[in-house]
Amino acid sequence: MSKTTEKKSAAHKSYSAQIWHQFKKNKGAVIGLVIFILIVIVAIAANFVFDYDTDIVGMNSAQRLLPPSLEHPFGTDQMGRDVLARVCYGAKYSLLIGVVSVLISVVFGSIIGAIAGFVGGTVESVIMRTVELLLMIPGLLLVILIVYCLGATIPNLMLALGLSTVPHFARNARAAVLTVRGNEYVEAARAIGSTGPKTLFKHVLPNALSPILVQATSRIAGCIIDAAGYSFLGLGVPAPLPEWGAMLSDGRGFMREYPFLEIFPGLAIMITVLAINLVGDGLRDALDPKLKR
Amino acid sequence: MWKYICKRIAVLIPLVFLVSFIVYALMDFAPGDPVRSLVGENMTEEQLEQKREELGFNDPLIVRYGRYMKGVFQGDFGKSMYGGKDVLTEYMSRLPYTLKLAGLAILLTIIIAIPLGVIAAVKHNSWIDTIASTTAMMGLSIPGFWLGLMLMLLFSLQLEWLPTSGAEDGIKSYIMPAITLAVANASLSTRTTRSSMLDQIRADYLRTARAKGVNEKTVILKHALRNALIPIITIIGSQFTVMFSGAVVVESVFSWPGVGNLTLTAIRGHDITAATSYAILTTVLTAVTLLAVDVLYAYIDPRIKAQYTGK
Repeated sequence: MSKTTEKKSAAHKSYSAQIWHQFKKNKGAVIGLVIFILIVIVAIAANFVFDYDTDIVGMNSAQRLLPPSLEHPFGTDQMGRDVLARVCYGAKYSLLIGVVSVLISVVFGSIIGAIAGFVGGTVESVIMRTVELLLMIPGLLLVILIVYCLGATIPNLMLALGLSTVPHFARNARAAVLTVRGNEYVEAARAIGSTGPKTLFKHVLPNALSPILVQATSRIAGCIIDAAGYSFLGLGVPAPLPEWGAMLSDGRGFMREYPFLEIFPGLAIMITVLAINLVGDGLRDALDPKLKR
Repeated sequence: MWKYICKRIAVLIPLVFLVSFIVYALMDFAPGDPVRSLVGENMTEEQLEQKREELGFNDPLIVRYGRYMKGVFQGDFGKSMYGGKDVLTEYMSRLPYTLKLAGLAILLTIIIAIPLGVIAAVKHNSWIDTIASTTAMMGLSIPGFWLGLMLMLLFSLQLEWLPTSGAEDGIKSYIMPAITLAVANASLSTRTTRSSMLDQIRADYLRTARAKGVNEKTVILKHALRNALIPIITIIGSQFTVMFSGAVVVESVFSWPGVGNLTLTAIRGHDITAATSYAILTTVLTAVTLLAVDVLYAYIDPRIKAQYTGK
């Protein structure tokens, strides 16, 4: 009896509630989500707790290169700044770069891919042949070039990272649209006089979003790693800003005597990326029960 | 089959034009004057102008690009702006370092990922599966260059077992860069192997094989793994090609004398010809390797071979 009521209530749940129900069952995903929320809170709070000019980019020669202690749990860097403060403050850069870059890829990629999948014919062939060509260009090279040519700033890095994965999202979006396009509700929408663009953006694309969302989540994690790598090379976030990759680059010269300068920013990247990957796995399983392992 | 291969090779022509134009134009667009950074600050404006004329920098972009591409199609990839070294010779002298490192990293990936993924799938939901999946998740989340720094900290600076950088110490120099590159690759490949094997293990033909009395080892290795191999090869093949250019950050951490580092130096030095040529060479190399992977599919899976030869 209770089982049937449970089943009934599950059927009445909204789509997002069903996804949440599935998501909650995955312990790893929930842990990832909790860690992620904590990181977001730290990133926001750091803006109010620390003073940018003194704590983050200031200089305090009396406090240079102190090892971790109660006062400075992560030690201080070569400019006498508290590493913990900088790591906390740096969270916002990584999160913003990850999210904004992927948004750029998702928006452009989905529109291009969706049009290809929905319109079909010559338009599809032209778009997809171009996408295939673009996919063969080494993406990393493209990012380095764009950042080098436009200048190493955060918006340029976001743009470069975003543009370099547009073809990947376009390919995925096209595949997703193709699976939805033939459904009866699309035909019904057409039958009641819905125009092409309206059918695409109101009926087809929203139903094709799951695989794009899953791809986007894992790409945010990848973007954070990539952005840190470019900043480490000096082709990303410029030096005084406490972005984690830039901090690793700054501290490299002091690595032998002061290894803590290299350990904590790296751990911060790893924990953030791990949390997002766990959430991504949970989302993938929740959105597509067939994929559940 | 040959028709398929020719078609794929024909795609290289538009690809080379696309890549070269993007790189050439972007490099040209970059702020700063390459001629001035070449000759130094002490030259007079006249001397600078003369040098610019000599190097052909006064022509419009499209003329210079056309001249450059004409050379490329005659096999002349130009000379480096600094020191005048032949770009192709320079690339070829660095390529073995990148290929050897990538090959070693992929070998490690295969040795680790395939057995681990197969065991995790066979012992689905057991403690081995949990450990394998968790390790793979962690490996996927570690930034490669940071892992390299940490290995360097431990094995070079603290224990002093391995050299910090360069490739002069033979196999010892390869250990840390190869492990650094292999960790992320092996993590992704383990996950792919596991999920691809899980798809096969539930398939009906395995039950048939078992019912016919085939022993379990053969069922898993000969029947399931062979069918699960396509996605695994796809992932490993693309990882191999990504390392031609994608190892830039890791190559930079270990001051590796590979093509990634070489390209980065050319871009930073505003060397338009060299950067464009390296980009073309890397792209062609990547495309040819990917084609090789696709041809390999045909040998593993007759169904795919039929697709290539049909229509």
